Amino acid sequence: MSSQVLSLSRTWISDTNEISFPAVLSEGKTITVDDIDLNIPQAQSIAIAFQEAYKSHPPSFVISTVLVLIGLADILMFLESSIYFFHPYIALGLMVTGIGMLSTMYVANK
Amino acid sequence: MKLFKLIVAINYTEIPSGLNYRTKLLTLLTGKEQNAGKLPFGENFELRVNGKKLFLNVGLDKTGFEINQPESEQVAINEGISFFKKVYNFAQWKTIDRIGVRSFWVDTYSIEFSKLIELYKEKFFREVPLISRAPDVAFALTLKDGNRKINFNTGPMQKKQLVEVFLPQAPFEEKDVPETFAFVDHDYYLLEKNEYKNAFLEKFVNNAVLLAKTKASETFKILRGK
Repeated sequence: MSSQVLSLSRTWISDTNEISFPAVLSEGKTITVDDIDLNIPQAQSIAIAFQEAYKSHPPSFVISTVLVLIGLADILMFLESSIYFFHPYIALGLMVTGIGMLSTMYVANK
Repeated sequence: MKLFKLIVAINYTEIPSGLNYRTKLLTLLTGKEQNAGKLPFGENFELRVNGKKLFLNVGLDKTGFEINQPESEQVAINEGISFFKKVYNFAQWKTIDRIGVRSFWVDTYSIEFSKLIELYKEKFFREVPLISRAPDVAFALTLKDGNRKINFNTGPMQKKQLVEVFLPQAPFEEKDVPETFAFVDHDYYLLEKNEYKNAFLEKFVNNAVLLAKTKASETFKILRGK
């Protein structure tokens, strides 16, 4: 666009778009820095995702965690002393179900 | 073709709990659940990051991310998503009223500006007196992607106007701004209440940038006659 239509196009751009330039109206004092790192450390990111999963679906989160723990405890008991409450295959099934539920919640809240 | 600018913004009416210190203080001091509301001129936190050419804003009713001249589209997307994830952990906004991604694409030409205008006229307009006599051209379209809307603008542009109109606040490198170029300005947004989720934002931003890239490439191909 040439300078002849500069004022017109300025209106045209702001009128036809939902997100204006700049993205936000300046209502406060702008702070300037040289650089920042926006990334969240991986471990913290995983912890946050699980925290969010718990907050959004507390019953599912608790049930899946309990399933994993029961399954794990049963398998460990079987390995240690050949005693079990559930057959190890059932315990494994419980664990897989629990892990599956937790993974789904993790991905949804990632 | 290059992504020159990317803006991601969300709007919300409910003050995010992490930013609502006035209500927290009022409740603490009075011993009752109360809402202190907003200040008349709003309260915004604005951060300009020279190294990454970013302009960031966190406010009581909106949060925005702006990057100029990113190394690549993926870098822009990743920085944007990381910003929202990081701020969300602190601000904890809940329902958002609107989410939008605006991207600005450029295709540099080494011809004179007037020739680029003629090229636009030839490829996109019919030869009628109104168009032939116009010293400059550009056009706007309204497009749709399901329930999302798109404001699409394209035209020829010069460095001077880009700097004046599109780069008022965020840091940028002037020497890397092309002299004459064709632009596509793609504003993709959803005006609908949604429960905020990082995964939703991530998908939305990726989808918006991919669609914008496709539309920009389509436009520039027509212009170059490919």
